[in-house]
Amino acid sequence: MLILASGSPRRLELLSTLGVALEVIPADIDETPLKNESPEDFVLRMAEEKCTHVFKTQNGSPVLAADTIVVRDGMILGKASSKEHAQEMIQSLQGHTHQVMTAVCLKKGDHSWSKRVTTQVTMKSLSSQTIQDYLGTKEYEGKAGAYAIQGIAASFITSVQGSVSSVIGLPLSETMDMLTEAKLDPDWSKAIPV
Amino acid sequence: MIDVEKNLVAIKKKIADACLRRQRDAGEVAIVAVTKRFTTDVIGVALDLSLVKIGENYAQEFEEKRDVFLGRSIEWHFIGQLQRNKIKKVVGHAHLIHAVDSLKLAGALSKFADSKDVTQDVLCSVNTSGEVQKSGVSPDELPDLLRFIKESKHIRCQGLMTMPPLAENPEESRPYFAKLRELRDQHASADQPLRELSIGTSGDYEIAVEEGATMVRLGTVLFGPRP
Repeated sequence: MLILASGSPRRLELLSTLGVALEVIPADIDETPLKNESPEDFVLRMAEEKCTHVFKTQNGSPVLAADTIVVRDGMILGKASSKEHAQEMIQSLQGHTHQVMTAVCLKKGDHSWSKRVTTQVTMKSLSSQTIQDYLGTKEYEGKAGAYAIQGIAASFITSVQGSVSSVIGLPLSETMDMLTEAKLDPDWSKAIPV
Repeated sequence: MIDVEKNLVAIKKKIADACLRRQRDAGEVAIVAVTKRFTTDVIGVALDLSLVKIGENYAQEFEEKRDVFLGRSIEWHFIGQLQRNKIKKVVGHAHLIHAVDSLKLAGALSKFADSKDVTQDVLCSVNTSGEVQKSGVSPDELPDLLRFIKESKHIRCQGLMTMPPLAENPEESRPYFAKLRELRDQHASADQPLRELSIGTSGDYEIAVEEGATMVRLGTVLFGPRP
């Protein structure tokens, strides 16, 4: 059985929809960027470290891990830790295009695959009233970049260029390619159509 | 032929959805595969699907099945009502005993665990509905039971469990699950954090996950009707 090294219910949901049977074992690792580490390197390192961390403890079961970050002007926007922090992030994202980067890593036997996918997301300009109203909903809590693409903030997004599923947390097309290469293709008779 | 893997994928998706509705981490919810009255083949199917938490209800059946799987990495959960004269079949062999439902039982468990020098993890069963036919301590009796276990040497209480009244609509279970969570929050302490909430079965596990379940006990929804 494939192990998902992530407690993100969104990733579990995406993969379950495809009929992939998974066991969830979240990886607890240090998620601090290194000095001078680029967002591109950081997200890939996070996915690889999560994958390795769980893979080491399992007796040969394949492990899939992923990490998603929101990047604005080369800066990583972390998870909203407070209302003020969320406000700062939404303020900086509105009226601009930012990047959502998700890295995926798969390990099976002696093989390892990893890939980073970057998607361009544009948020429209928001009035201070709209920002205040949005913060009042608390949707930002625990969200990287203080928003979720499938939530209320979807009404702020004017364009998504690239992988939609990657913004949600897992680039499904690229992940499927990896699973196929590793001979772990999902069985669509177990898929759950929307 | 029941496709257990297909059932499991669908259950995982529903658990993920319920976690999303409450912003919970999907790694916090474990499935206990309830195999009472199913054959050992069914346990084999569960193990193949990495379902290693196996739940049994009857001490005799538990003992017999455990013999079949000696040496396999299984985490046995004893989820049934435990009679005091069957304690020796379970203590030291079950990873977790889900339903300590009286001071008397706790006392007997403690005494037996002391004599064997084994530490036994348990959950306290609470009768949240007040139905007379339901087992479990009343919310008023819970503090005494928790205190007794805290002071005992070889049994440790890891959390709480409850069985809501039988109902057709799973929503009807919600207030009892919520009540148990409130009791947990009220009585949790640093040296008895009561992390586990064993709530939710085949019919109402999604509601249970929304209300904070860390273990859902699933049988028929995974394996089909019992023989």
